[in-house]
Amino acid sequence: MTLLMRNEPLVRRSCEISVGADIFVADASGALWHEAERTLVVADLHLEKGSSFARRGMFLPPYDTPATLASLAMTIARFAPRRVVSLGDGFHDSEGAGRLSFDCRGALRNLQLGRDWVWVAGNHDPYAPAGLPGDHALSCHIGGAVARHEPRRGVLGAEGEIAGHLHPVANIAARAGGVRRRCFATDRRRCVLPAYGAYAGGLDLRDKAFVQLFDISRLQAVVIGSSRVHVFEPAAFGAARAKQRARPRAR
Amino acid sequence: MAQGRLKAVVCTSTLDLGIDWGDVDLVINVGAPKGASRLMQRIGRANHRLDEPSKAVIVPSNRFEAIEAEAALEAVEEAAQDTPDPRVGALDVLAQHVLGVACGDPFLENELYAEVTSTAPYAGLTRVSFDAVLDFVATGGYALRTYERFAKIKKGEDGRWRASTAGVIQQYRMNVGTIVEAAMLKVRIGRLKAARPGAPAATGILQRTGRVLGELEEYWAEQMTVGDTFVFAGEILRFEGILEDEVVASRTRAGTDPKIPSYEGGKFPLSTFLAARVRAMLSDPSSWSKLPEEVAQWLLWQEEHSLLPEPEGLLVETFPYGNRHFLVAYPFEGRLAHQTLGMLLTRRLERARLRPLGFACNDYGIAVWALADIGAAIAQERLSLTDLFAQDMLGDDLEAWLAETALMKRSFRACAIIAGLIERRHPGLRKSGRQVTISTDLVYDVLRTHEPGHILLQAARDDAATGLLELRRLAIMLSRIVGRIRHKSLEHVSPLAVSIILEIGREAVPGEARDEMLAQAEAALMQEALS
Repeated sequence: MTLLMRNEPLVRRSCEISVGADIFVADASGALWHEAERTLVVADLHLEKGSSFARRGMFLPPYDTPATLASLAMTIARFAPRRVVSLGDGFHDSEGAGRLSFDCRGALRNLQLGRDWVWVAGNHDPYAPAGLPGDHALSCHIGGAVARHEPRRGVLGAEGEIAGHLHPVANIAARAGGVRRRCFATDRRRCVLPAYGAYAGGLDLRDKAFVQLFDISRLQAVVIGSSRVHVFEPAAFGAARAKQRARPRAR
Repeated sequence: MAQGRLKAVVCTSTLDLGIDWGDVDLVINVGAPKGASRLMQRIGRANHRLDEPSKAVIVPSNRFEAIEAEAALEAVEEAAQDTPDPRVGALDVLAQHVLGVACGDPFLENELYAEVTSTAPYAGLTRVSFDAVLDFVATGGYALRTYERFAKIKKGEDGRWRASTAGVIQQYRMNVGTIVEAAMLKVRIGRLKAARPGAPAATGILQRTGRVLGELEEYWAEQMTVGDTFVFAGEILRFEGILEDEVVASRTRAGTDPKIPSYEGGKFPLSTFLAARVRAMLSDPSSWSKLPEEVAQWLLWQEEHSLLPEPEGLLVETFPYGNRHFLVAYPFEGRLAHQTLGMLLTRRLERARLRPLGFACNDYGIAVWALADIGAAIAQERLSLTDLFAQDMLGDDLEAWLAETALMKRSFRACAIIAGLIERRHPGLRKSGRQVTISTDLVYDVLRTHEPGHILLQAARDDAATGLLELRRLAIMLSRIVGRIRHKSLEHVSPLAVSIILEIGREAVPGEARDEMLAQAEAALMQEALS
C-alpha cells in the first residue's frame, strides 16, 4: 500500500511505515502497532514525572500519570493488543512505581490484564518497576526488528530497529510560522518513537543526534497532529528548499 | 557609556527610566512615543541636569505615528500625564511573597492576611483566594492532595507557618524576583554542513563556526524558517537553525528583504489617553495645520474617499483587495487590544460563514480579510456590524478562544515561574531560559484539562486580561462604540487602511489553527511533488 492515494483526503489517523522487513502502523496517539504480532509499542511514558519533581519542591500538577494512562487506555482499547511493549523510561525514576496513586496503580494493572507486557529498561528506570506485573528486558524482538530504549549508532545489520529515548519533535515550516509537534522519525531501517508521556519534552529532528543516526535521504517524519498524522520529508522540517534535496550526485 | 567613551547607545525602552547619565546631548526617539509620560521620561534622559533643557528629536516611522507624535507633544506642553492606573495585586506575586515570609520568621495566617490586605493592590483580596495561594505554596494546592509529604511550608503546633527545610530557603533565595525575562537565544555564526560528501547540505549537521553576536527573543526566533534572512548586529544573516540555546546563522548578502527582530521591550501599546487625543485630532481638520504637510494631505484624501474616524465612534471600512475581501476598523486601542479583537472577530466571521483567512493590526486599527464578500454581507443584512462588535464577544467567544490560545501559555509560563511552580535556578544547576527543566506548555495543557479552577490558571488569566490581552480596554471600547458604528463600503483600499495592510506578513499571528497549518504545509509539499 502506498502512503497516500491521489484522491485520498489528507486526513488519516495512522500511516504504515516499514522498518526492515516489517510493516508497522504509526498511530496519532504516538504508539507504534505491529499487526502480525498484535503488539503495541509505546516509548518514554515517564510516569510519575510530576511527583518526581515534587520531591524537589516543584509541585507540578499531579495529573501527568492519569493523563498518560488515560491516553494509553484509549489506544489499547482501539488496538486490543496481545502484547504491549513499554520501550524504556516507562517511569521517570526508579522509585516511580512506588509513588503511583491507588487509582493509577489500579488503572495500570487493568491495562496489563489479559495480555503480555514488557518493560524495556530505560536510562531513567534501569530496573523492573517494583510491584507491577510484566517482563523486564534490555531489548526484545517485534517481528524481525529489535526494540530497545536507546537507538544504537552505526550501521544496522539486516534487522530493523525500534527505539525511543530521543523524544523526536519536528518543527514544520508552515505559511504562518513554525509548528512544533511530536513525531516518529524513520528511514525504513530504524524508527524512533515520539515520547508518549504527558510531561515528556522533545528534541528537534535537526539535532545532530538524529542526523548521525539516520540515512537522511530516506528520513521521514510522521508528525502527530491533534487526531491525525502528517508525513513530511526532510525539506519540511530542516531544509532550505525542497528542490535542492533528493537528487543524488552523478558519479 | 557612563565614562563618556561611547558616542551613542541604541536601546529599547529599557533606558526610559532610572538612568542618570549626565552628558547625553540628545535623545532620538524612532517610532511613536506611545504615551505622554513615557515621552517625557525619554526626553528627560538628555541633559539630565536641573539647569539645562533636554533635547530630543522624534522620528515618526509612518503617518499615524506623525499624528501620535504631535498629540504627545501637545500633551507634554500641557504637562498632561498618562501614568497607568494602579494595578490589582497579582496572585503569583503573592505566592512568592508568602513563601518569602515563611523563609523569614514563622507567621500566623490571620496576621499575614491582615497585613497583605492592608496594602492597596491587595485590598480586595478575598480570604478564599489568600487561602488558595497559601495552599499552593505549601503543597501545590491541587484537589488531588498527593504532595502533602513534600510540603514546602508547614504549620507548626504553635499555629505558625514556617519553611520545612533549609533547602526550601536556599531555593527561594536563588529564585526570588518577579521579572521574568523573555526566553533568549544567542545568535552565533555557523552553517549547515553536509552529513557526508555529496549529501545535500540542507539536511546536514548544524555547526557553530564563529562567534556569538548577541541575543534574540525565542518567540521571535521561532517564527523564522531555514533560509529566512534577518538584520542583526549591523549585518544581514541567514537563519540556519536552532541548536540548543543558540540560533545558528550565516552571513549573507543584502537584497533579500530581511526581517527585523522585535523585542517585548519595544511593544508597548499606545496609551488610552494618547489614543483619545489622536482620535480627536483626526476628526478635527482645523488641527491638521500642525501636522506635516504630507500627513494633512493624507487625511484630506481619507475625507474625500471615505470617512474620518470620529472621537467616540468606530469607523468600519470594507473593500476588495488582491482577491480578498477586507474589513478594516479603527478603534485606536493599541496593538494588544487589537490582537485580542482580531482573534474574536475572526471567530465570529467564521461562524457567519464569511471564511476569514487572517488579520493584521497596529496601534491604530485592525484589518481582517476573508474569502467571502464582507461588504456585500453587510449590505444584504446577512451580517450586522452591531452584532459583530457586540459586547457579548467577551463572553463565550473569549472563553472558547482562551482555551486554545498560545498567548495564555505565555502568561502561564510567567506565572509558573514567579509563583515558584517552576524554578529558574536550582542549586548546582544553571538553566537558561530555553532549558527550563520542564515545558510549561505541557504543564498548562495537563492542568487545564484536569483542574481548570486551579489558582495558578486564575493568576495566568488575570495577568493575561490586564497584560497581553488588554481585555478591560477592549471592554471599554466596545461599550463606547455602541450605536456609533459607521460603515463605509469602498471600491478599493482607503488611504488610512494602507498603513494597516502594510502590517500583513510582518508578524505572524500566533497560535491558532496549528493542525490546519500542518495540513496545508503537507498539501503544499505534496502538490510540489506531484507537479
